[in-house]
Amino acid sequence: MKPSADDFLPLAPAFLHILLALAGEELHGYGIMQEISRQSEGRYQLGPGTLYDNLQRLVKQGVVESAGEDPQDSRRRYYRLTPLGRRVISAEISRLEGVVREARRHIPASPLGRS
Amino acid sequence: MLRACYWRLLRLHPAPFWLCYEKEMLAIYDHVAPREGVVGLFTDAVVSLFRQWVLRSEFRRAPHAEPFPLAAGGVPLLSSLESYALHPGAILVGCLLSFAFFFAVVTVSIRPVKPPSWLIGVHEARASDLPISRSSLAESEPNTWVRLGDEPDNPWRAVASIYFKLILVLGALDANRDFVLSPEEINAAPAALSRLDVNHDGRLSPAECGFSLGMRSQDAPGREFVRKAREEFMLAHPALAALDADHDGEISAEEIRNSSRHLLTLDSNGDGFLELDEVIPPGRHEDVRTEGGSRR
Repeated sequence: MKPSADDFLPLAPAFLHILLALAGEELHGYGIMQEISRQSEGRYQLGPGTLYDNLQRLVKQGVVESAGEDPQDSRRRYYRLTPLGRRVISAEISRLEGVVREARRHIPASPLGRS
Repeated sequence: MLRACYWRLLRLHPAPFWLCYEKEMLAIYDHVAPREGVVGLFTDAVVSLFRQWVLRSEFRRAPHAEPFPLAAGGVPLLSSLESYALHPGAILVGCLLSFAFFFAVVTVSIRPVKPPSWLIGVHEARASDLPISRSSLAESEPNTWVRLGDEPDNPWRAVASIYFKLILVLGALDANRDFVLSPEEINAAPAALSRLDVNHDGRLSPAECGFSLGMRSQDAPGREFVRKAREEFMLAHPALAALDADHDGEISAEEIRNSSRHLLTLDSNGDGFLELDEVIPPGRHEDVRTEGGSRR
């Protein structure tokens, strides 16, 4: 039985940031760390141990897959989202959008606004 | 130095983890450490180490047992019960250690072992070493004499015994049955040989010397065969060949009278004795010498 994207929700923060980093393009480990730092404007940092611990689990669950070695540095390996991974990140974004919508309705003076 | 420590820290992780991600993590270390320092990296590695051993046991489970791959002839190939592939360096080191151990075992096995020397007592005896009566020291004999037994029987004596029985001439000459013809026995040869002349014709035929074919033939080819066999018998045995000086196939009365002189022609070393290697047919001499045929 193929796993459903909803089975992975809600995503842990580390999962969410890794999947978001890989949503745009294939990246190697150090690239994922830099992309996460860029997307979170430096507020969320992943160390190599934490990164590969999560990658190990994501690969096993079939959400992320290896895309081969870096031709310029054989020590590096690229990773990309699987089709399941894309469904998972889409479902998580939809879920977060619902959360934000509810938050705006109940908390009008929320600092979530960009005013 | 710090990089080596970080590498060691990674190697403390479960093998499935570091075998898969070690290179990538070291590559990240090489990028991050010069710019951001190593504190965060080491902290992250320690936390990861704890997390992997405590929370990630599912990655360390052995896969379902699979039958060992077999080479031709049913010999198992190199296999491991671990869920990960062996490091090539580990295989190489293992091979070298195996060869070294095998070489050491072989070397120790084939090396001649020197028997330990034992000392019973003391190197230098003193009067105080005698425990019972010091006053008897003068009469006591502290040395122990060990007398070796006789030399073990020479197996060639059995061969010589049979040979001296088959060749009646030798049996008659060897009066003391020591399988060595002494000068006295050689000098007494005419009298000893005369006793073999059972038909009293004054000479010794091959039959009287020990020849026995075990068959009788009346036809011409048979008689010729027997004649040649008798001649060969008289020539094949050194003692008979020496006594039958004219090689006519018999030891005549004249040859019996001169038998002492004829026998001495066999004394190749000139010591006056005829030993086994001088009376046994050629081809046996070296064997006899090697086996200790000398009976002096």
